[in-house]
Amino acid sequence: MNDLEQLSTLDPMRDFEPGAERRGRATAALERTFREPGPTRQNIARRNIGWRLALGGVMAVALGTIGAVTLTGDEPDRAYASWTATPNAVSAADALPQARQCAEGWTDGGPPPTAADILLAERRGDATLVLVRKDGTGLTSCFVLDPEQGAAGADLLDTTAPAPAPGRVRNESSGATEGGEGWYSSMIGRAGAGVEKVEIELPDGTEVRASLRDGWWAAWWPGHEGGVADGVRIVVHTAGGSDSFLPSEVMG
Amino acid sequence: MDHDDTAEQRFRALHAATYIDLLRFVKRRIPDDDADDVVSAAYLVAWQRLGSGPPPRDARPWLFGIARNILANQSRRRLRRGVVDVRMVADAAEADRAPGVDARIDLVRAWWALSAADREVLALVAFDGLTDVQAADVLGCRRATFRMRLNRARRRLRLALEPATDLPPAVESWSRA
Repeated sequence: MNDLEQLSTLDPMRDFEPGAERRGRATAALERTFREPGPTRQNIARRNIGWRLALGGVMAVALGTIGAVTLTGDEPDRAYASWTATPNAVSAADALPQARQCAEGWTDGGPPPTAADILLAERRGDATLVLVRKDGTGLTSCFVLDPEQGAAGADLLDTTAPAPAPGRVRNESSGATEGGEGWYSSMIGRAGAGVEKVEIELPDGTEVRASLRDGWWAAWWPGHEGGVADGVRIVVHTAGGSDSFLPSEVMG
Repeated sequence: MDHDDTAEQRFRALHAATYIDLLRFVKRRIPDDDADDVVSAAYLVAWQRLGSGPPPRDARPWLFGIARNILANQSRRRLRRGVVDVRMVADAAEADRAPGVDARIDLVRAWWALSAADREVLALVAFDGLTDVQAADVLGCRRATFRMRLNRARRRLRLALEPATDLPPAVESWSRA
């Protein structure tokens, strides 16, 4: 018997079977789910509203004993539930609607961005993060967690500093934001030549892979760790191996 | 039968095939009183995400991943940390009544000497019965990454089972290359 097989003998749920009453409650909950607005019965414009109402209603009852936060309507967000540690690359053309949603918040005007202005775009579940050039020289990062709600947050990035040394990265922006949908953290920075991959290691061991393009990297995740001093580690991969840094060690 | 009925029928079949495993998954991680509600919330998220399309071929790790995200969000909000720990392993008192008493007690002690991150990786395979590919799906990482984390966790478990051994740091999420 190997170590994993030995461990399996300690599983307290190994012989657990729900009783008839519990199964009945589960079936009733399933039927309530079908009565909530579902994607098959809603148009796109109503779907997200239906989601919020549905999840809020269930979670207020369902998770009330877990945390008071659920009772205030601060339920887990759909974007967070669909979040993935590995991003999906998005073409500039596909991310243009989100970039233009971001531009709606630019108070100093200027022409709307084009696909050529999008430096980097990624999706994790339903949420989109884009780095958009502004006025030809400036660069903004922008989150669209929910297309229905528009831009959730944006930040102006410094583009004047020289690129980091080969194989090194610089952290240009990091932090955590708590909106009506809970905490989310982000880190954005520059990558020197030869950097092949950047990952953010969270305290629970989750490895969040950053998007990397044209010398910039960006990642976000549900949680507040980005707002904690050296609350994560930045792992930089090159052909020669990997190095791990505290954010303060590579701060711009 | 209309379109909605077909989608509901598919989802009922998915629920029937996965309910007990998902409930066990959640009960391993939070108190029993809260487990039913998290399971219901996970199915609600799954229903909303699935729409009218067919369920994924391997629905179990997909649902586990949804439930884990719900638990992680709750955990982050309550505890300001993102660990989805495996709360309940048979404790020493229970082990004391079982055959192979000493070995089981040692195993329980070694288990709790590990970091929560190590426990989660081990539990996905040893308790939840997932393959490395499925477990990687749940954690949102690549298979190679999961294999590396699993191997490290198994090594630390073996070290923890050796008496008077200096263990590597229990919280090993940060590793300099």
